Amino acid sequence: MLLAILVLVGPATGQEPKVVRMESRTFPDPIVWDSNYTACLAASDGRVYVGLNFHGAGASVAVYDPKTDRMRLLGDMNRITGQTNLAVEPQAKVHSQICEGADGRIYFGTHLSAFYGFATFPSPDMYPGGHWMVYDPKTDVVTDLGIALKGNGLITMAIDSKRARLYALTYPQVHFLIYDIATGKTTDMGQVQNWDALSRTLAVDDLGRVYGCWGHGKIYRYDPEREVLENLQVELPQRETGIPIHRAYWETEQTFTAVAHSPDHKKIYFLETGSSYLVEYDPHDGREGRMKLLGQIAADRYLGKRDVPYAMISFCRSPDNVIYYACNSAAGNEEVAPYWGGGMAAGLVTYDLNTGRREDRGLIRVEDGLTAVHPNAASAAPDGTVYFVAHVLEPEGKGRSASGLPADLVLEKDTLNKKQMHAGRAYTLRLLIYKPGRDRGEGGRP
Amino acid sequence: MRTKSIIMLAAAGFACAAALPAQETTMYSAHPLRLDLRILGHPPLDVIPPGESAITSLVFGADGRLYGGTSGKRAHLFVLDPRWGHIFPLGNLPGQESIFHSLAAAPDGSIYIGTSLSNQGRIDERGQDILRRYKGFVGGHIYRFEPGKELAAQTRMQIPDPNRPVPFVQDLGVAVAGESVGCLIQSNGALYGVTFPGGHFFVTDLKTGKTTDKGPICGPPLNEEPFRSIPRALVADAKGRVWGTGDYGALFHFDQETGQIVPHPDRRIPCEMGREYKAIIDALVLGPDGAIWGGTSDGFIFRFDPETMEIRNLGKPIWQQRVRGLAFSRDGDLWGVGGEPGGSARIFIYRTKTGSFESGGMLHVNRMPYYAWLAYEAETMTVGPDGTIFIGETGRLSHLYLLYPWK
Repeated sequence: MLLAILVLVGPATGQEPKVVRMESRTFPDPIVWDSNYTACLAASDGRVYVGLNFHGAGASVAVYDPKTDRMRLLGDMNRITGQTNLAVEPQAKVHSQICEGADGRIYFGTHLSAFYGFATFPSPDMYPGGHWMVYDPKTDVVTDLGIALKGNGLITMAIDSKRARLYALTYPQVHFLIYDIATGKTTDMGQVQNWDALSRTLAVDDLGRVYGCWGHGKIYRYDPEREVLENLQVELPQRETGIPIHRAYWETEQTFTAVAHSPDHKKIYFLETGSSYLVEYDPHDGREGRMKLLGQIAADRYLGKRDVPYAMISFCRSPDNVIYYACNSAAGNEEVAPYWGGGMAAGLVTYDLNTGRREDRGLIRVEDGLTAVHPNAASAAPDGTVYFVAHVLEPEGKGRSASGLPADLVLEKDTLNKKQMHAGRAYTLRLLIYKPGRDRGEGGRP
Repeated sequence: MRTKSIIMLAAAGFACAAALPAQETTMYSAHPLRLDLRILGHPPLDVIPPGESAITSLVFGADGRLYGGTSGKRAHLFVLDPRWGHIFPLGNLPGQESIFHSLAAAPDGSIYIGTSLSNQGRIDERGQDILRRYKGFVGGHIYRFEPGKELAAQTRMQIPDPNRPVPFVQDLGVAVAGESVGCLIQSNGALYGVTFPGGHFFVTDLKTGKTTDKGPICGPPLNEEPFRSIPRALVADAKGRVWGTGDYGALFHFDQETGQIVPHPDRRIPCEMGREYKAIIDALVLGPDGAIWGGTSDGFIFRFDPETMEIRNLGKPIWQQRVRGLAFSRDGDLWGVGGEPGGSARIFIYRTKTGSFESGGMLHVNRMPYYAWLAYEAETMTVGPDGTIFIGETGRLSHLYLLYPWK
């Protein structure tokens, strides 16, 4: 079977794939961290913050300083939130976006790993709830701001720095929360979606209005001036429903996976989940705003096909107004797992918002020609450097076992296919560093 | 012989395979074929909006249709005709925000509605702050809705607008000044209800429309919340006596002959030890055996025989507190839905023949890629003439669940 897999991952066409090279850095305690979702911020001072997950134990946040090229951790979130030895579901993830306040403080939220099973939700050993957290770079102190909503993790977060408010979605109950930084008060606006199709990101426009998806690609909007949360009829352009897209049939989310904003936040860029459509949303065009399809930013090999991999959250806009998207891809004709795309390669696709030019930059390789897979977060620094967080496949014995990758969602199944694909593979979670136009071998052949 | 054995083995194998439930990694749902759901209207326009759709009352009318009442920013009324199977919003009651356990069906086809301040308000306003909301509150109204006229007018089909008021509604006035209507039933030509937060028992004569306040059925607040021990359900037995509970979960009945409330301080509903002062009735249903079956705030199920006055604790089918809805299936089993605010609603079954409980799992419908929804809270349950059990979800985005016990 292993031989069969090795054959499958080889180039099928005989042509070597196009490659884009990136630098990478492992995190402290590199064997510990099993995953990252969404949580990556290149802050205004140049430092990069990354949420690190540890299913079944405490998460952390890594801080990378590019000036010194050093990385360190902000502590064990299970300990900081006072959960040590409590025998409850641990604070195993920092899954939410990491947000920078107007004063430079860094906000994030903690999340559950569902390690003990979703069925324990209402029981005494249930997850106590995700915490609002803040890190002050001036004092180098992480402060626990309290539980946001009982039993729920903070899966995604956005900030309105003008109003000093955090917005978050919870999992599994998908409540829309508002945290007022000045008063420390959390307001629960109630449920906005069901657990299986929640928006994995939130967008905030120039008026401080917040956007998510409420179902079938339709948008809801929270207006802070009117304090109204309303479902709109405007919807994302999307493909026909019900098409298996490297995922199981039940996972046909129609929502946006990732968002980016124009510098003035008057335009919002959505990455649609099932199609990898890049969509420009003008919230000021008409009562509900207008969607405009800019293009499909899956890797070239998937363009126009039915089997487009599930879109990843590794999506950002750089200061030069280019969308950078690290996508799931494949090196050859290998089979793919039904969740998170699962192809045993990641690619870089860019879309220049100035010219409308889309480009597949190739498969991502790091030092020693190692392959990046499962890209899950991205952020562009003020100097134009683009950071991604991804798994890097390691030689056997030099990383975590890929077959031990945790299953997060309730309905995610550890299929035989997935097990076979991951058998014998090892990986580490890494911060990828991409300096557009300056990286070795960009666009070239390995 | 050998061929026969192989066939038998194969048959046994198929039988075992058919008995396997749909396997899901860590979620336990009711049998997927047993559950379905309906959106409250016809999207995108004619649908009860988010934040106004929590289904807090259900009742079958004399016309065989299911009527539902919602809570939230506004209280809406909707109807489902089982012959069609989909929901028509009938409009909202202007100025009213909740219909909580307060839809009552009269034999002449009328539907009576009791209104309240929303119990589904913002979570940060729950608890102590609820009493603050009653300052200046006029009181919950009693309305009479005439479905026959509404159906003939076909208004629902012509104006797809959730902002329209319910047509053909007569306002019978405030039941008890300053009080919400917390539960309402119809029996023998009268409405019976209990108010919140004062716990007044009242009777409304359907001929005259006049309401009589019989006074509180409980004493000062005992709970720390601080609510009184006010029942969230009433039921009439075969003799027309109306039953409920008061302080310490003690039963009372209202005697229609004498017009008096008769307390039964030595007949208490079950609860966890030490929480007797918190015992509140959540759900009551008259069983096919003539007994009264109930669910309590601590999550217990009991059977009460109003003739022998025997009350029997049947146990606690779910880990969580609150039994929010009960209904009998056609084969005589008791189905229920329970769970705490902020928790996860569970279905359970009490098999009356064997005296045993079964878990029915979560309120999870999965018809992907077309639709799927997991309900976290449900507040009401009722059964239709064909045996279908209807369950009302109570979230910001709520659905009506249909459960087919025979499947």
